Amino acid sequence: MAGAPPLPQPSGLQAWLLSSEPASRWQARLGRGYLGWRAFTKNPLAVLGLAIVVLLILVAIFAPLIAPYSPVAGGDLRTERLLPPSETFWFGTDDQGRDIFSRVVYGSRVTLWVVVLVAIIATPIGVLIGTVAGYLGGWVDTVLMRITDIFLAFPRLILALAFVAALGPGIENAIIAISITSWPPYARIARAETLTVRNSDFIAAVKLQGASTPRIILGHIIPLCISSIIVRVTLDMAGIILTAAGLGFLGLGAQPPMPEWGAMVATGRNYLIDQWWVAAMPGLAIFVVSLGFNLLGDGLRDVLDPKAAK
Amino acid sequence: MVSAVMSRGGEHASALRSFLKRAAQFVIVLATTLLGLVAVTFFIGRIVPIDPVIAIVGDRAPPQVYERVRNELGLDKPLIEQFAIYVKKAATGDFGNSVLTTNPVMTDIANVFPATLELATLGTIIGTIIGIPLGVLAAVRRGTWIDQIVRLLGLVGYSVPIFWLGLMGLLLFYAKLGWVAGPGRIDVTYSYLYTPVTGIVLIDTLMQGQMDAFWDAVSHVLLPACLLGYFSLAYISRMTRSFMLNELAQEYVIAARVKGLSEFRVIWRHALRNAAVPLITVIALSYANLLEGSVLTETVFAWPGLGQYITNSLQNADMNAVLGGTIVIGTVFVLLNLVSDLLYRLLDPRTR
Amino acid sequence: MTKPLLEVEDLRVRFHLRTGTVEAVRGVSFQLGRERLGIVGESGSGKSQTGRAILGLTPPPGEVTAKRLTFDGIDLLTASKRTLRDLRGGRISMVMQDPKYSLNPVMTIGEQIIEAYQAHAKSAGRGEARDRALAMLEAVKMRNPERVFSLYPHEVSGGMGQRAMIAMMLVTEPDLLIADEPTSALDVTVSMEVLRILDELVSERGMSLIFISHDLKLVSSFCDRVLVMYAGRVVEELEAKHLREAKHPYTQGLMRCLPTLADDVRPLPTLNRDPAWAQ
Repeated sequence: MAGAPPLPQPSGLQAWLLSSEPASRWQARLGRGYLGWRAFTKNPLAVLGLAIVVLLILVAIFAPLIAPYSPVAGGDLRTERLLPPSETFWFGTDDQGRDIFSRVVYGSRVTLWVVVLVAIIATPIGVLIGTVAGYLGGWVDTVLMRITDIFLAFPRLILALAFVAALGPGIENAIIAISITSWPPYARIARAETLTVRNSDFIAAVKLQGASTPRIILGHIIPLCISSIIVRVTLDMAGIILTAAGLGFLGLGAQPPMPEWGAMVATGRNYLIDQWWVAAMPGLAIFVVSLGFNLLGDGLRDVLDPKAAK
Repeated sequence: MVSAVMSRGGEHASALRSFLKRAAQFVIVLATTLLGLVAVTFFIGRIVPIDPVIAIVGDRAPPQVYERVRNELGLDKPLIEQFAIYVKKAATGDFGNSVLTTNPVMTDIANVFPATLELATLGTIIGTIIGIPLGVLAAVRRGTWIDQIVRLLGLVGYSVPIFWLGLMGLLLFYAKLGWVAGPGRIDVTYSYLYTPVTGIVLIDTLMQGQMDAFWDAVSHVLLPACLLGYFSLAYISRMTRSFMLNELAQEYVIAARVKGLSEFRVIWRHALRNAAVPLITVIALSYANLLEGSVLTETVFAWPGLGQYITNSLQNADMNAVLGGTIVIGTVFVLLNLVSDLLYRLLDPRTR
Repeated sequence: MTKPLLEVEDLRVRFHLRTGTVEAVRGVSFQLGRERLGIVGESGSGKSQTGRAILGLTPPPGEVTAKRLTFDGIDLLTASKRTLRDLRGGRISMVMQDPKYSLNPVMTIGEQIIEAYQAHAKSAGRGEARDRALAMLEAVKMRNPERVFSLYPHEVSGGMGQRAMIAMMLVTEPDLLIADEPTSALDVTVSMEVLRILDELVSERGMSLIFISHDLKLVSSFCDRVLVMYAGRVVEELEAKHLREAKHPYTQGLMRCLPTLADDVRPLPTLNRDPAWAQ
């Protein structure tokens, strides 16, 4: 473009990251990461999502410092029950005289715990099944995909309900149940990605070098799937939080006195009309955190997979 | 629809053969999925830590009684045989008896299912009627405020917990404003004025001319249906927008404008007609999603449907009922996916 | 000299993108009477955008400006949307490149032709429209017009599809037809057939034609006059029969690059681009 003013030359660290001839693999990787970060931060909603998630993590870590009261110890049942939001109790108190704000703060730990564990359990299972099915093909593919389809045939909440019904209520069983229902979409994505690269030249080259099948799958194919899996997992987290909250609402998740947000909403249901804050506050927390993960996931998708973005 | 080029008998035969082959594959896939569904629930039923025999006879029963009940339940047979019996029973709809009501589970389910269908159907109708025009508008006026609103609606729909939104809705529209009735399906005073025929209160009261009862039922179903309708429209409008954006970028849309057609015709008769094909699939999937959403909605609104049946049975450790309900919903899900597949093939002339 | 049908003076088409402004058409001027005009250029020369601009179908975020853009005395830049819609399809039509994409896949061919007819013959009933459509299908030499009428676009071959497109765009008997690479998606024998039909119809009905293509030889044999475009400008305008006397080095280069069966020039000459041509 003739006549445009010259762009400001990047200096120092920026120049090093943006260099078109990186001296090491690490420099190249960090440079790519930096470019991705710049693209990501152009989107204000994505940054908001990231901020919410970071806030969740910080609140969970520093809960004892943030919460003014104990989340489980009840207050004076004569004077401190069901008080509306005030300066002493920011979100009011519940039917046991407990400060709702403190419970919401500590509840962030439960939420984070659930989300992290489900992601850690379900993702490797899904990715492994998907890549193995896609790479090996044949009857292995057919069998594994039939199993995946069967799990996909159940609505997530219902299947989780059934598992929790069998295993008994409790936060660990809820996590297991949700994990069991979460892996199928990851398997599908991993399989789709594997199919696109299975016949490419570099896989053939590695095979010729004598790489064994596990090594090919673990070392070469899985790294290629990572970006779409990350996007999908992040977008899924909102759904996982909602499912966990749903189970909690039905009394099947964390058991009292654990401050799980869904269960808190269920308690608040009994006092909905006159003491609306008991149900409103924890529900709001669920909403905000879900929203944060959705915004973050959308932002990641725009950066990592621009074709999918609209 | 057999291609118009064919005219000879031999070609008819080969078309018939390929159709049968596809139909056979289709049936096999359907059968294995349903079988898998039953297998999963069988497995779930077996991991229950409670001994089902003790649940029936108590823990102080003499060994002979224990053995007799155990044999009755078929628990002495090898696992494969137990599974085969289970599958056979499931195929005929025999899910055992509910521990709570002592009715056959299938009877209970048949009683409560119409209530869930009512909610899901109304919700999908609301979602479609509002969602499709919204999505079209968002695509046509891309980047404007209406586009932003549609995306915001979608975002909130994916993030807000349905049970919480339902409670807040009750708080606002029932408690504070008094615009709708509270939880429940119909006021007790009206419930004796009509006889249940279809199981759907709106239809029954209307058919029997009980207008007071009808309006009361409407006032009860309005909020839960709108709640589900919101989630449906969030999904449908988002997908409509996406499909429309795709179609509006195609060459045939330009050709339609070249012909001098009005913009209205170009959008609705050309672009939307094409977008309708995957959109029908989306509507069927939305219906399926609402079946899942109704579980929590029914709890909030004390709606006597399948969702509430399952959660009640759950809290009473009535495993037969829970598993029966799970199989029924799973089957409906599979069938809905199937229907949406078939509709897709029917509507797109390229796949016939 | 009778008044020209189409007058174009200093036509400019700009696209305002986030990364800057791109000028696809940079000051194109020409006049068109009852004749056949060819516009030749490579991809990116702006020839297609010129055609779209005449129809008022420049895709957003495009901006069209010109000192003069009139059709039969009507100012296309200031005309109302209504007037433009009446002109489009009714008096100016366009045949597009690939019938696989430019025909609506969920409507039968007959339906689409009827729709084109009824958009401009407001009082025509369905029976009359159907008769016209069938007559048109016969005019483009479909062997079995009734059958093709009820077929979907994906059920006919490329050549048939393009003929159906021609039928659809000519059923309203427009004054001007813009053919935007009408045979580029077809193979050689089929495209010859389509061109023959196009030739016949244009002659019979006394239409003006703008033939846009990248194929210089084809355009020169089909049209009376040729405009050569490069980088958004017209670099040469001459009569088809005088192509050998082309003055601009780009046109000369193009002519030189065309392989002939008679000669045996090795290696095949290629074009040496002079950046001065893009100024």
